[in-house]
Amino acid sequence: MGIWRLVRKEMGYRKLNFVLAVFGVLVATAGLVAQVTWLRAYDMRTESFLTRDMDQAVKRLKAIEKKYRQTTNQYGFNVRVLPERQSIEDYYKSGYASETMDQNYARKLADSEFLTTIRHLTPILRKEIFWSEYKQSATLIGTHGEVPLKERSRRKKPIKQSVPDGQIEVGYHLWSKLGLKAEQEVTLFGRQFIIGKCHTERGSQDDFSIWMDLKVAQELTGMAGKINEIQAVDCTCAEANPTKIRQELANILPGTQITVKVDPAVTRVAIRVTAAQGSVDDLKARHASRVQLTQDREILMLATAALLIVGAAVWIALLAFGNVRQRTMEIGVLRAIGLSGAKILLLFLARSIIIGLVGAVAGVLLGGAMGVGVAAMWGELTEASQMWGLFSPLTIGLVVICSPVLSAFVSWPPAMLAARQDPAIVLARE
Amino acid sequence: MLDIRQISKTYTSNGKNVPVLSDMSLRIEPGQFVAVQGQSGCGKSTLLLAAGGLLRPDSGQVIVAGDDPYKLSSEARADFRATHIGFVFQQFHLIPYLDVLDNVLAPSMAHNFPDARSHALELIEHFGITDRIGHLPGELSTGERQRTALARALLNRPKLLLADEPTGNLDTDSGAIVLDYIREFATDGGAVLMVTHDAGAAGQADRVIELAKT
Repeated sequence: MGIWRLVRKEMGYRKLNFVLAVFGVLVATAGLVAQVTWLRAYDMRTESFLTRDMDQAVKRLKAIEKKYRQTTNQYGFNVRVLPERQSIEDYYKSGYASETMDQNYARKLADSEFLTTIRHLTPILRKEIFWSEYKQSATLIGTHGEVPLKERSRRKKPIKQSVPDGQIEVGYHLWSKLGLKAEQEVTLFGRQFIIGKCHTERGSQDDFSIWMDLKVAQELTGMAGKINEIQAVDCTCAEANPTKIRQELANILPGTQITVKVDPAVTRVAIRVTAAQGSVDDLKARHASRVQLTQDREILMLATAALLIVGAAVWIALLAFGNVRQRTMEIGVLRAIGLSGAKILLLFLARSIIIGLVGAVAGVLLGGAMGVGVAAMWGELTEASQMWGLFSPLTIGLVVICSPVLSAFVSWPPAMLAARQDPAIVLARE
Repeated sequence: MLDIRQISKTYTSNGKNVPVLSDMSLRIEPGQFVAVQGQSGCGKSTLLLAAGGLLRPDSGQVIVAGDDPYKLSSEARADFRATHIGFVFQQFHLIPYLDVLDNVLAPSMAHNFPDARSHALELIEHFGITDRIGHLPGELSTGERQRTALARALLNRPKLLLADEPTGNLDTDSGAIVLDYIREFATDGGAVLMVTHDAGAAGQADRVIELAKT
């Protein structure tokens, strides 16, 4: 006969002691599991609300940002980086900068990791010319398209493409006045070009402009390696304002200045972007607040669980002491027939481990059912399939492992008392 | 088989020393059945516990089957008891939640006896309690309980049987049966030390020792 058989038969014989001890473990574990289960239900529910709201807000923000991009694209570049020496008065009067700067400025700007307020950097060389072949004054704009930003995450789809070498693009009034059309071959400053594109009316100086490759324009105007303007678009972030842009450029490109065109339509959309961004930020704040609330609930739950565990521990220890006292003579006889102190210890610890295990399994089942029931009652659980997601395998595993260990731990003192009992004293009482 | 050499034992009660055994010597050879008689408090039970390796004497030596159990560690002494000594008590002290078979098999928890189960069944049959094999102690008569206790004491095929008033709670017939079994154990080569108040029971022994209060 083995120790386990003896333990099993004893538990069956002293049912009340066993049931009361199991009940103690059950109350503690069921309380813990029920709280964890309900907390998970609450988390899942609020998370789904917030995720839904966040998805909607992000969609709204993206839609407004798209609108903003479309608006700014229609409006064109609104930020212009000019040489520091350039008189702004002359710039506005003539429509172009007479001063020049090194064309590498655009690259330097694009490569800066501190560039956050502007994008779509497009270096241009703009100059008033007389198109002698057609006896027409026009604005020549040399450009090689946007300089890609070094930071990949900030790159955007270009709003201005470069003009291939050998081609030019012509503004609306210019081509309509001179009778030009796309694919037509024309001569400019004695060089042959194909008209790549005839632009639609923009209602600005652009309607009298000719676009060509920057390098060709520099050659034609004798301004090799020079540009007189970097066009850009301010970003949609709320922080991008003229003051901020000026501060940023002063750090990256000293020796330049900027002008920022403010368009009411763009401003309106920008405000909506800011508002939408604000609502996303609000949701993020709500999420953070919910995390804090969850943490508070977890602390409360842990405190309750700690109380339940301490209560159960005391209860089990008292019952174990009672069991040892009840079995004093039995222990004496077992020692007399040869059971060692270690085996007596094992006998009582095995009993407590079984109590812990049975109580834990029953507690997990009951606590899980209670947690699901409460979650369903409070509307946290809307679908049956959500039920399995409520159970925390970690919590269940810990409960099933720790309960027998804790039960054995608190039963250790009475078990030691039994193991150290002197059989001679007990038997002499007879 | 049992050689008790000048053992003494003194208890302390309410700050006073109460000597119960003083220079007590006793030798029991295999096959001998020795009864110890005496007034209450003369040290009969103390002698039995000391002989059984359960109560260390203050002085003197106890030799069982050639070994001094008190020179062994507590764990080894427990195993020594499991393999060499059988105990029978006046109150039987059967484990209340184990049936007859499991009670008889109880010593096998202490030491692994290869043929424990078959030997237990033999003993149960021998003591005439086969029909009670699945019964709990509470369902047995006192005679059946003591026979179960005797079977438990003999499961390990002990060399020494220590019996403390084995017939004290039995009627005359049951007592006689139990004494016959104890006698039989001695006849088969075992050594028996029995403590009893019953002159009739003592009369079954090969030798009777009278203990007087010290």
